[in-house]
Amino acid sequence: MKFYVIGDEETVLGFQLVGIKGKVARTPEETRESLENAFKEEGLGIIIITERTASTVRSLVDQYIYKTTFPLIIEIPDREGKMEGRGSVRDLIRAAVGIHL
Amino acid sequence: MAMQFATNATRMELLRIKKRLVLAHRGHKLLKDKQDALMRHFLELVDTIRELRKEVEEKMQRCFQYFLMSRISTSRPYIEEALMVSNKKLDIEFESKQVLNLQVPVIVSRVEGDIRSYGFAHTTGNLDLGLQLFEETFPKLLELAQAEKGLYLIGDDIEKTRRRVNALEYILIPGLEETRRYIQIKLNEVERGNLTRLMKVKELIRED
Repeated sequence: MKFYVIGDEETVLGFQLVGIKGKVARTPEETRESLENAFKEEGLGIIIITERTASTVRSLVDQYIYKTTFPLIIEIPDREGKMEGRGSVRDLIRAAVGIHL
Repeated sequence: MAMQFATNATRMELLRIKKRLVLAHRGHKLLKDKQDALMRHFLELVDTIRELRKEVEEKMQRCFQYFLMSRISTSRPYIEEALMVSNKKLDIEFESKQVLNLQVPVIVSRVEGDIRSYGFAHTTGNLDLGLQLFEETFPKLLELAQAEKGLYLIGDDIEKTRRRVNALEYILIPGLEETRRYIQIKLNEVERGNLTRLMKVKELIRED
């Protein structure tokens, strides 16, 4: 199975260096399109998407994360660093389980 | 007060409801146990993810800094050339692990080749360092992806299980209890009614 990267130029280039194909997405439309294409592609195991890019199409990403089994989606920070105000694991737990830890 | 179910107050019905009640209690206990077990897995995963994410994020950040530096000092064609000859092969496969009733994916990765297979003449040390760090970080990233997926799956199932437990605990079981009591009272009432009628009839017969 393969990987696929969606994100800004730097990130995609970085991943290409290790032999992972990717698509540069600059606008929400591009992101949406490349995400949808990636999901249609056969044999994709993991989709890596930068937080910043993912945040432009948050609802779509969430939908994929929660609803589909494959491929896996993982969000990583881009070179500008971790995004402020991104939901931490703790928030995720609260949303999913409805308990406070 | 829980609503009782619409039933005929008969002995048959009473027996049926008693059976259902036993079953509901058993189901409730099982589901509750399942929920606890899921929760334990869930919390374990949360701890791993918290650590992994911190590490991965910090390392990726440094990787990108190195890449950026190498972009500054090396012109794009050279980088792309270096990138093209990269013979690094990454292949992953999914296996699945059973966590209670859930299939949680486990990633098995195979890494082949050297990541730094380009010439050193046109690229800077920053690229080397960046790639080395990247190579180090990548397995962690996979682990993180796997753990997060597991977390989503388990979280989802916990929610479902919790709903079922609650439905049993707060709706079905109280409802059945209530119905059982109702039927029992009703039957007792009929019994008493019969008794008094019998006494009355006896009285009438004796008077004749």
